Amino acid sequence: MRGFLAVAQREVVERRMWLVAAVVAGLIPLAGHLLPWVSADNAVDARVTLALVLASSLLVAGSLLLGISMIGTELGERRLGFHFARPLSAAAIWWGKLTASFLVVMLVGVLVLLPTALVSGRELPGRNADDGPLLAGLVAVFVLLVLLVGHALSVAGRSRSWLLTSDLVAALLIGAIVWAVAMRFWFADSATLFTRLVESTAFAVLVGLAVAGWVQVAVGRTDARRGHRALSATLWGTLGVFALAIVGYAAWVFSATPSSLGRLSEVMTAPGGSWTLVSGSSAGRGDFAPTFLLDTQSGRWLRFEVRARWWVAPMFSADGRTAVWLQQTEGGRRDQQQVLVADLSASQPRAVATSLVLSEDAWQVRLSRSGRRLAVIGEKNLSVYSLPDGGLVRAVRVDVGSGRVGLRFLGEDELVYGVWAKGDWLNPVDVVLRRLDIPSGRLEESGKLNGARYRDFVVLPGDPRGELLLAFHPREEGLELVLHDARTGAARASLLSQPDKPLARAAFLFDGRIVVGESPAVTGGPARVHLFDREGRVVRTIALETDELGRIGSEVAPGVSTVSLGRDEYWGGRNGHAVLVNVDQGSIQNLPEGYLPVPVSGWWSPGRVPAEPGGACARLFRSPEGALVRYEPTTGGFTTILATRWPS
Amino acid sequence: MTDHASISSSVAGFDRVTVRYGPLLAADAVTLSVPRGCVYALLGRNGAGKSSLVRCLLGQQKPTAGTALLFGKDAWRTRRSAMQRVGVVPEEPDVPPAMTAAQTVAFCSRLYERWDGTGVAERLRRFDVPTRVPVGRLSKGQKGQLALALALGPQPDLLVLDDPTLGLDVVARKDFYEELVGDLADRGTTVFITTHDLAGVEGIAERVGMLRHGTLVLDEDMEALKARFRRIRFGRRPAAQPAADEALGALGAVRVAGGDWGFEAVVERFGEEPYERFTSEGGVVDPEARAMSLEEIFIAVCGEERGGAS
Repeated sequence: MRGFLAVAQREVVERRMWLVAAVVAGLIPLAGHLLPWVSADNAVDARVTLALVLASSLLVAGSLLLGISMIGTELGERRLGFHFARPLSAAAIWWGKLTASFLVVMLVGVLVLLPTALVSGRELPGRNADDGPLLAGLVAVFVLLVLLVGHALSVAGRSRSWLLTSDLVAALLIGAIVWAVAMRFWFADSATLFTRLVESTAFAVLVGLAVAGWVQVAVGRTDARRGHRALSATLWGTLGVFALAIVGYAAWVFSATPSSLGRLSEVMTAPGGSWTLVSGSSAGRGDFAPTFLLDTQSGRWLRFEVRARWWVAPMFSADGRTAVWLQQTEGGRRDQQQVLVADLSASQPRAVATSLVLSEDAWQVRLSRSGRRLAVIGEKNLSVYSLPDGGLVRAVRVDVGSGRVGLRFLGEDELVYGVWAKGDWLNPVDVVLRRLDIPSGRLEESGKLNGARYRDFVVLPGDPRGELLLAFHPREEGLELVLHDARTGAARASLLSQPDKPLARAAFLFDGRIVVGESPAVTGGPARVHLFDREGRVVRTIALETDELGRIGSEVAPGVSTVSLGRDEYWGGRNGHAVLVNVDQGSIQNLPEGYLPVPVSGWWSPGRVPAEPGGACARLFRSPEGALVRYEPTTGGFTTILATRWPS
Repeated sequence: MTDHASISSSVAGFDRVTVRYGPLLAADAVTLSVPRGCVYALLGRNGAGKSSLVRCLLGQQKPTAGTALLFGKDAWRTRRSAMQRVGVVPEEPDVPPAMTAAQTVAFCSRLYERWDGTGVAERLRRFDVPTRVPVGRLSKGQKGQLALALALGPQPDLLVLDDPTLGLDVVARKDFYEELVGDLADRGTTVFITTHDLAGVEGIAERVGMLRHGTLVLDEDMEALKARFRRIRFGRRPAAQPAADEALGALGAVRVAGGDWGFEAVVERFGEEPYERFTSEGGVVDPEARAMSLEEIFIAVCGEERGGAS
């Protein structure tokens, strides 16, 4: 310790002119208002700006120059022997010099800013107690990093050996590895993992450089080349181990299987069959959400690995045997998306990249019920492709302009799209509907849908055949739920007024009938579930004894809808229970407490059709513990599919 | 020859030390020892490997092979503790140029257990070394005296001097050696010195080693060295040449030159008896044997390729 302090003190004394320069530089901003282009109004800004520029410049220059000269200059001028001829350990020499250089640079920054802080302290960044320590910490890390980099460059440069080439190769190699892992995290939408990687890389570089400097001094002593060898071996060894560690960690992160899921965050069922997309968190994997296409019957699964997952959702054919999704091309350009197809009926389903690559003009993409046609609409084109070969079936010119667009198949040979001006999410919009006859290529205006709330037009599901749609229309008092013809936009019937929470309270049954829930807040009495026929006529109204109405889920059997009761927070809730409402008979069956229908996400996707009644995907629930389970109508029990859990 | 036991018991030593810089061999299995209280002068031409050996001895450089020893221990491993007992004057002044002598002395005084602050101050005063001026602005002589003062400050058991008078003028060299001799007389410090100043070191060195292209070609006491080297001038009659050459060979002639004035031979195994035999040869005329200076011996050993000439 005595040696460390002696070296540090000596180093500070030797660098004292930096402190003198900082004191002088600190006084310059006080005269900032004398600059010809500075007015009295912005004198404070000018002073603060000048102080920050001077402080930053001196910090950068000081860090670099002191880093270069800390050891390198004495090594190059053969004066390092002065220290090694004394009873000083290598640790005392290295850490003493490093600490002193660091303190001098930091002190330089403080001395430059101090006069301005005393005069105009409130205007300086980091003046708040909240961000001050963080800013100081970031500056300290930056200074230390530049010091150490300067030292390493200085030692490497002075050795003038072939090791410089290997240094460059190692730096490029490790940089490439870190970059590749970082990009993998980035495109997996793992902001936390990406941030942690950046932080841990900075930490590893800092530690690697600091330890390498120590080893260089300890092993190389006054021998520049030997020191360079030691520095390189330690630095690249450390960073190499780090690179291997992050590669291993990334491999582990992305090797998750459905059983790795700790908590489900997303379920997206196919309309038919038993396949569903599941996504969730996994212990030790940060915010990366492993995502799979899972067969809830057989347990087969397919890793749903896509870059930029947050905006990618699979589209299923009506029978659930085909899944289609888009993925950025390998180059990582977001405006180039490749279409992938998975045949889920295969014994070992796998994603197959088609030859179809969509450009930035692909605003909305829809899959036909058969899964054999893909419609793509953009600003100027509406195209229909055949799958899986990717051949162009039809392309027509459209003029969406800068508006918004919604697209849906009405059958294999017919498409309807709506265009409306960009507006507020909750404001009514006037939608112009156009219809494309695919075989003939004829495009015509088919109708209008005026005054529908944009959010609801997008959100509410269509009927399985795509002929009907629901929209909320803002009225003077509340909202009116109207059933429309999807082709012409014509209003068929007004179903209800003042429905609350429209997002969760209306659903088409598989046969096109409509179930709408009214909560006690609307009725003033018990909650009610109304059944409408395809023409919008009320068929039946069923009262439910509950204080709060949740969501209307799928049909566990034809005509038997699942309705959750109580407060059903979208994914975070544990409480509440569900009932099975037989809308044909008007009967109600309670399910055990805590079993709620899984909220089927993908709700933003217009044209989403309900799951086939009684199918595996229509019977998915989450258990009170958070597991993904399937309701078995024959026994009234539940079969666990994924033993996921709510966080403890 | 120096054996392992004597190296281990010596103050400083080299046990088969080899130093390589890539393909360049700076020292080739050098083995020598410096006994306690001895002043050992290691001589060699530029690039002979002296400074490399000094750096190895000071634990500043790891030998490619072999071991440099300080107080019987591996200098590379025990450098830090050994330096408590070692004073060093480097080939080039290495005191940080921005520091004053006073700051340098203050720095060093904190590091040693036996720091003779009074002695250091006295030496600096005696040689008019300014203590408030940055070292970079001192004269070479002043830097040398400062270096010696710093080296003697810890009252070392071993003083390592790496060509300490390099670049000093005659007066500064004289002052340097007088100071050194004074300290030696007072404390009997062991000294390991490498130098080109053969005249300066001749008066104080008790043992001499000579390096030639990294190989230690000579390692013996100064007295014995000087006793066995002689420069012999003689004339001779042609008829007696074979017998004279044989006698000269017995004296260990390392160089023979001839001219109108006669012949001159440098011999390395001078002795009364072989010299008598040489002079008694009928063909040798007016023989005269003269003692050689250290410089002459060094030139004879290291200056040129060895070998006789007719």
